[in-house]
Amino acid sequence: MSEKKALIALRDVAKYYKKGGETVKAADGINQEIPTTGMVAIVGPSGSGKSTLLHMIGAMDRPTRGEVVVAGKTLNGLPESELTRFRRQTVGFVFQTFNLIPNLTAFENVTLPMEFNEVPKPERVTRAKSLLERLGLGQRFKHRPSELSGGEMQRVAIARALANNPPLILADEPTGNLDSHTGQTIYELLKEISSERTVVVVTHAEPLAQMADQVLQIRDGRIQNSA
Amino acid sequence: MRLIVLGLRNLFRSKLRLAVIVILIAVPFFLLLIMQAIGGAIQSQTEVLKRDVNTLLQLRARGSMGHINMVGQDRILPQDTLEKVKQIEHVVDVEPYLLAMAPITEPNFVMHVGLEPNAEKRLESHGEAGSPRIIAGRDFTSNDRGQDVAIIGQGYAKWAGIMPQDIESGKARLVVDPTRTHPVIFRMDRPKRTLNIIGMYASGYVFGDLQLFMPLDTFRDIYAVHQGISWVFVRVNSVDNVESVTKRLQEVVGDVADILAPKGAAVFTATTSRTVTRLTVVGGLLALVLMITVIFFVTLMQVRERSKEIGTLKAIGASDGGLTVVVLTEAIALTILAGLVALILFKIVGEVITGPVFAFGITPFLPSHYKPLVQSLSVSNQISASGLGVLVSVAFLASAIGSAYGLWQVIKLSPLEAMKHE
Repeated sequence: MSEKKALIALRDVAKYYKKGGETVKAADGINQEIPTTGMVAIVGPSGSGKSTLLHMIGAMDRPTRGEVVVAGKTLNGLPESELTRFRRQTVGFVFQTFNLIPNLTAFENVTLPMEFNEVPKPERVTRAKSLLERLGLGQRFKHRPSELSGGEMQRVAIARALANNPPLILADEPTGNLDSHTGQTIYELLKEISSERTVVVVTHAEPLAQMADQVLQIRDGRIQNSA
Repeated sequence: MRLIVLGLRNLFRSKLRLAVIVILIAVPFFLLLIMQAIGGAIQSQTEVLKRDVNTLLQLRARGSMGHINMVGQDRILPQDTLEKVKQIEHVVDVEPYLLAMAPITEPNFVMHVGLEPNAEKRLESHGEAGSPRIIAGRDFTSNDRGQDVAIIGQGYAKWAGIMPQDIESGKARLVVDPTRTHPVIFRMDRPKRTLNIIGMYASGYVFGDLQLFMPLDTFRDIYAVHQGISWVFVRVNSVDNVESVTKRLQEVVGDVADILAPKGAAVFTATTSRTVTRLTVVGGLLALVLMITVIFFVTLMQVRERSKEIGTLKAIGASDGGLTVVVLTEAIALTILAGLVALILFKIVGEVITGPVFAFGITPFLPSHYKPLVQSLSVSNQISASGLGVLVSVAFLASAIGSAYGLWQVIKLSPLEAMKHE
């Protein structure tokens, strides 16, 4: 894959950390490119380094070695304030436990990243309404997370991730807290949005992996195969 | 704006916890209000004392009474004393006096006093009593300067046969004769002078009523004292400065003058004010420290509890500045809310509680001679605009200091660490 078409380029990326006197290799010399659209599933056993890789791509963690380039930006040397801007503009996160702000409504949760990104208010309102309606939450604008079901919360989280229209969505076990039927809806949603951006999903769920355009199998911090 | 709203909404996550925290912060706030009330009461009490305390110093020629015709006591102050005294800081008023004695029915005598027409008429031996009451005629005006006019005490007038109605009708006259002597008064070879008595006063003192006040220039002319001063009265701007002015006077004119200072009263008042102010400031600071401590633990607890949320906010693009706004808004709102509760409480029970707090918290640290001051203390539950300003500033200061460590924790954590921290 040529670098021009790749949204993400990982070059000899390694992440080591100490645990009980031993060095754990969460990522160990990963080389991979991920295209500008489509869904990529990262699969592997627990502790294999899936989430670590996702966090490094999303500028939530720094590699011990190697280079992480996302949307033309090399993340390694960026100061914290630049990484914050990068996360705000380039990445949308979807977490296993939804991570919605409990005392804000669904609508406010979706507008929050846009406020951080200084999107003008009228545009924020229009975009948040449109996203929530698109995700089937037209009747849930004023509901707080505690008043929503798990599936609804995850859809609000996806709407929030899409709020700034980022080229990259990173989802860490997005269906881990959902029943299989709701999980299926979320897979389809992620698949749908991957038609216009890159969606990288860390998952244990076989059906989700099967829907992905590319599957990265990780074991002991190394990519075993890229299918 | 949303971040401020978020900070404010965070307050109401648990109403029970909010109530507990508000009470915890309100207690030191309430103490602070009480300290302020005590400070205010002491301040006004001290002001009253200061008004009553004599801030008047008296200068006389060294070792002399300064009466120009008194045997062995006729040395007076050099003329330049006046200018020297006027230059001293905190001196607000300088009054030159000239005094001569005049015999009446043996063995008594009266006092003739020359002074500036607008100066206070101070009484021999009762100097601090000041301007006696005019009971007939009028007081001096600046037009009387250098004129042959005088104001007479009612005792002297009685001896001279001058009635109040004589003064009212403008017929009262008194002859001043510097040649007349007495066992303690020596003769001065000067011509007699007839003075027009324009007023009569009553002082409440027997000897105080045996004086005759005339303009200073008239006195100088009658007795041919063209230079020098018998007494100089020096008024100091505050009781707090009496001590320093006395010291300065000793340096400037100490070689020629005796300085009579109301030292005891001044020291008492200044010390009382200083001691109680220090105690209330210490009490206030302790209350502030208590408030900061409560805010410190509350903020830290909230940061720890909401660690995942903070991590999420960082992950979706919140800057450190934005998170600072959230945390600070919550801390400031909490403190202001507690301040309001404390204020309402103070309005209701402040007056009742302040007395016992003063009695048990401050009085034991004061020397026993302050007891009358303590007993007469009038505490108010009123808060002035400036007092309110101080309290709001304290709320901001306590919030900023108390939440600083919690804020540092928020800023220090990476989004990932924050989310794992829970």
